Amino acid sequence: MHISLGEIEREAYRKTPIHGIDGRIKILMTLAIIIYAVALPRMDSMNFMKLGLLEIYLIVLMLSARLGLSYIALRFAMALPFGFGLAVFQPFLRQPFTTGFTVIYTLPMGLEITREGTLFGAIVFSKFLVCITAVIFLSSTMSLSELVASARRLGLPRELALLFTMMVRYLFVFWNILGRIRTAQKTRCFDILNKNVPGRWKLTQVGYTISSLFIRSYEQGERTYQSMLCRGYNADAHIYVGKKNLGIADFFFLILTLGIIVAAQMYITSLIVIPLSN
Amino acid sequence: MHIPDGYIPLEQAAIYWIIALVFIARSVKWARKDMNEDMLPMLAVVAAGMFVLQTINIAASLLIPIPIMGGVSWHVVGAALAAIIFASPWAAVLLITSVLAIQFILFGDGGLTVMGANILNMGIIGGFMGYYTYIGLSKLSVKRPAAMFAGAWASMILPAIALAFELWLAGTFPLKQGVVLMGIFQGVAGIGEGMITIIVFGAIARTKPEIVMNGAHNKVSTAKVAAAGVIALAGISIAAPFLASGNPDGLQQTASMVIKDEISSAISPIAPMFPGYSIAGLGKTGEIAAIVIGLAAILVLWLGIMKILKKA
Repeated sequence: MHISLGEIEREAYRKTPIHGIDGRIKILMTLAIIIYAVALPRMDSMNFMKLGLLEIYLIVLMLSARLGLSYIALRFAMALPFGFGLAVFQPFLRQPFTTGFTVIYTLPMGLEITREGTLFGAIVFSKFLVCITAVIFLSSTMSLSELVASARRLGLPRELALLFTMMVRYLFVFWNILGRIRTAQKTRCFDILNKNVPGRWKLTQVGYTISSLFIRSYEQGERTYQSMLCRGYNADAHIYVGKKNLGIADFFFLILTLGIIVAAQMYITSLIVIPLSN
Repeated sequence: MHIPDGYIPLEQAAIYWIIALVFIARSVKWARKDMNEDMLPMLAVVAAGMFVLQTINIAASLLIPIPIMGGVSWHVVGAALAAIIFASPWAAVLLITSVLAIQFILFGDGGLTVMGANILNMGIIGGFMGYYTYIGLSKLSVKRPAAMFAGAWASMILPAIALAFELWLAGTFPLKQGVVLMGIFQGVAGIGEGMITIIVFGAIARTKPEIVMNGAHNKVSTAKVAAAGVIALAGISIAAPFLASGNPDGLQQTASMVIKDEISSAISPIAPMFPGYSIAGLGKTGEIAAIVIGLAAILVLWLGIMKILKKA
């Protein structure tokens, strides 16, 4: 089960000061936070403070953007499983980049939980959590089309801009088509978990749903392309992206974010180191 | 199975990004120049369709009739399917790249720094190996459904093995357990992918025969298929010593056996990246226990999340 695209867009179209911030700033901010989080050392317990500060900042931003709490929870629930699954293994592993493992607990069958493994597992999960929070914030405070337009303003190559502009335009069309196919199947009592129907037949029906979506997207692509040609499209055509000037609020937001990252790196480190050195 | 942010260090992620970018640039050129006309706008719309069809969750119980699998599901990736329909692996690279980018933004699947690695696995390895497996087998006169099944299965299992190697290189997951875990998941999902690919290709060939290229294998030169085969074999032969040897530095051992002492010092900078990565425990029992516990943990987690999602 996925969250519906409509729900994500509904949050993205709210009108709050956070939503109003220029898309370029939000993209740069997300990039900076994700790269900073990933670049932090792997085995430094100070990371928790740094990542914690970023996480709190992002959550405050999401709350100020008045995103629904159940919506945020659902987005996290969807994004976390694989990353969480990988982190859960770490306490049992002996990571190759560190030495001197201290066993803190021994389970039956010779499984040992080590302090270093647990620390790394917690750090890697925290990094992942911050990255996920950043992207949830990004996609919930601006529409997909604005995201692509902002990426274009930031210098996304023309071909990729065309690809993503057209793709996000049709996502919702096909999402609705899939919804209609599902409704049609439901009205005919189609249930993939129905045990009275052979699995092979059910699989074929799923295959037909996918074929139908594929053919419809192909035909839509052909129609769209032909109508573009009629309007003079050729390979040299540019997608028009209107100019948008950055306001004071945008610059403030960018400086604030960079300031938080610098504070996380410099201030928190010194906060811990100074008392220790005394 | 997308690698999430944080699990691959930046410097390694950058290498995967560079490889991915080269392939993305070439795939855009394919869409613009290699076809009879500029196919980019058309493929962009198909990419939207591909994104949506990947959201169709298919109950795992259709593949494995075990009651506990009721809540677990998988979805079609379609790398081999796209490559086979458009008769080019570049289609898979372009479409999977677009889908991965939007999946990351909307669903948080995968990550930003690791997107290069994910594109490399699913789009490039999945697309190329899936397509050339299909073409190679077709050239050997294997029947179309069988060749297609093998291609689709390869497009799922090979990315899983590549993913296990990437996580191992990153130091976040031991190699053997990674290959076994990812291999089991993707090997089973690959069976579904294979069956769905056959059904979908058959349905499209019947309803819209002009969009599928029949006899594509006759148009692809044997040299190309052979080259893809050689690359795959080279990949496997480089990978095999690491898997086969008890010590992860099997490549170094092999190299030192062939070229004696000089090479071992020359390649030593690689060695510290993979010193004795072992699971804490007693040999094989610990390894097997870890896999079983891991599988159970993921299954329980998965079922829990599905329950929460269903309630929401």
